[in-house]
Amino acid sequence: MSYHIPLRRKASHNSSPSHSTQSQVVQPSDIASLDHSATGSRIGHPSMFDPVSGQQSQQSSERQTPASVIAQGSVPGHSFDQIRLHADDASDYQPIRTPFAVDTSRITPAQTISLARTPITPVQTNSTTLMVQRYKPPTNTADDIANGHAYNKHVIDQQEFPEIRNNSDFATLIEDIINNPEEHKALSNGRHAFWKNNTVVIYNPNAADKGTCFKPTGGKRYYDNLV
Amino acid sequence: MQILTVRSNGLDVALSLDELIALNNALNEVTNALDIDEFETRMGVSHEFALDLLKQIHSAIKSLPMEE
Repeated sequence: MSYHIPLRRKASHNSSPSHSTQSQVVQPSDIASLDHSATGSRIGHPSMFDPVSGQQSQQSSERQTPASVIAQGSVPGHSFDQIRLHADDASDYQPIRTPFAVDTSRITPAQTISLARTPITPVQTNSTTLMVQRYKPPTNTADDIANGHAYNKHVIDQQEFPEIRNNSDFATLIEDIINNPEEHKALSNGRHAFWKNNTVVIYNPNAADKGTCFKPTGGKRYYDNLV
Repeated sequence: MQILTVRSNGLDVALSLDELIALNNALNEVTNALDIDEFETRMGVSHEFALDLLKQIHSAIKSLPMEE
């Protein structure tokens, strides 16, 4: 029974120039010929491959593993394709302790699915400032509100917006507040509130005219207390 | 709304979230959105009293655990 563990090490940029890369290349076949036992002397091998000299050497009293060779830095800039671990037979299987540290932290499949399902909307911008995608009500919401009750009540009757001359101006103002609010928050029953320049826009998908826009007498306190 | 206890000077009641939201937004409208000259005459309480009650209800709603 054998186990193939991929092990790669990127080429080091600070390799000593005295080391000839070509002369130190360790072929996968060389590594595959090694026997790195996880169970000590039971599955041993009398010889050890010296990746520097490229020769087999007698096993020292303290076993050397490729991981320890790498840790010593004696083989900079080489790739190990695999380490093959041998066991006598499958019936005698025991959990194998790898001769080198293995990072066992993984993203579990469940987390992966959860991450993949996270809705992310890409936003194209030339700004380097971090940007958060804001909620935006459906298209024509500004027109719907500007042509609803809010125009007659707040623009005509109560004259809260002296600069607004028609429904189109009102729609432009509402559109700007929705798209560039100073603050925004979701309210109960699917409503949303947008605040800018002492003016609140409340989008209500359940209303015939889709909401309202006005300047509350209580100012920002009104917006803050909306739920 | 559920009346839990009747007292001599008031009631202990249980309110659902929707009921709290209705009370909060009604108080918010009369205290912060409408310019009522005769506020105390028509509401029966002062503007400051209504604002303080709104503040308490709003805090109570915010203390509820939010849905994920």
